[in-house]
Amino acid sequence: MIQIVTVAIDPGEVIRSVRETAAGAIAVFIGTTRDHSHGRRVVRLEYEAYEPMALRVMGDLAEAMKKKWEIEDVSIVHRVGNVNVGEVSVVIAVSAAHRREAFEACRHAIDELKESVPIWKKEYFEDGEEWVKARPRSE
Amino acid sequence: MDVHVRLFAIARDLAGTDSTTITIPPDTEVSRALERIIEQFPRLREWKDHVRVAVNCEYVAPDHLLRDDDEMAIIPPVSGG
Repeated sequence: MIQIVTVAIDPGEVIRSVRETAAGAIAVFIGTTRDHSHGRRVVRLEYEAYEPMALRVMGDLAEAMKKKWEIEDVSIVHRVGNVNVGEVSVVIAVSAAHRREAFEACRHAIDELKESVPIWKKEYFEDGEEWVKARPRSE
Repeated sequence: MDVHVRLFAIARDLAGTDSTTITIPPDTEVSRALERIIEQFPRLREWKDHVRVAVNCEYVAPDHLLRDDDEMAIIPPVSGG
């Protein structure tokens, strides 16, 4: 299951989507909106996606994971739009015969998602708003 | 030929639009097309070296050659998850 949604994500549903009788382990990553960022209080996050490409990159990521690790299935669901503090922004679930592969693949999935999937978040503070990574870093 | 450009996040905010169309010669390189977009939206200048470009939903190198009707996306540093 590779999805971008605009409503609250049910982690249980994402977990159920990767269940396989051949699996002895399911590893799950859940991303939630934190109430602080670089010393400032965050009120909410707003996510935006280049949707057709994000779905494609997420799908490619899942396929690459299946080639790299012995895993049964991968689901990635990312929410866009407003995500309040404490709410879930992304869920990744990986099932595998053994826990080592499930954990490693799941960690890789979120690390890689954060590097390459065309989704952006904007932080809303009490006194302003800013795109994450909004200051161009000098080379 | 026409290339449809989509801008996201900070790029969209600075350009003041989420899309535009540029008319360029066939086989124009992505780097040249990006320069044209920056000429149209000068506030993007400081981001030139910090954006990636995607064509038809795939990341491409600066020397990738554009074709008629391609969709080119300006991808600022991503921050999903």
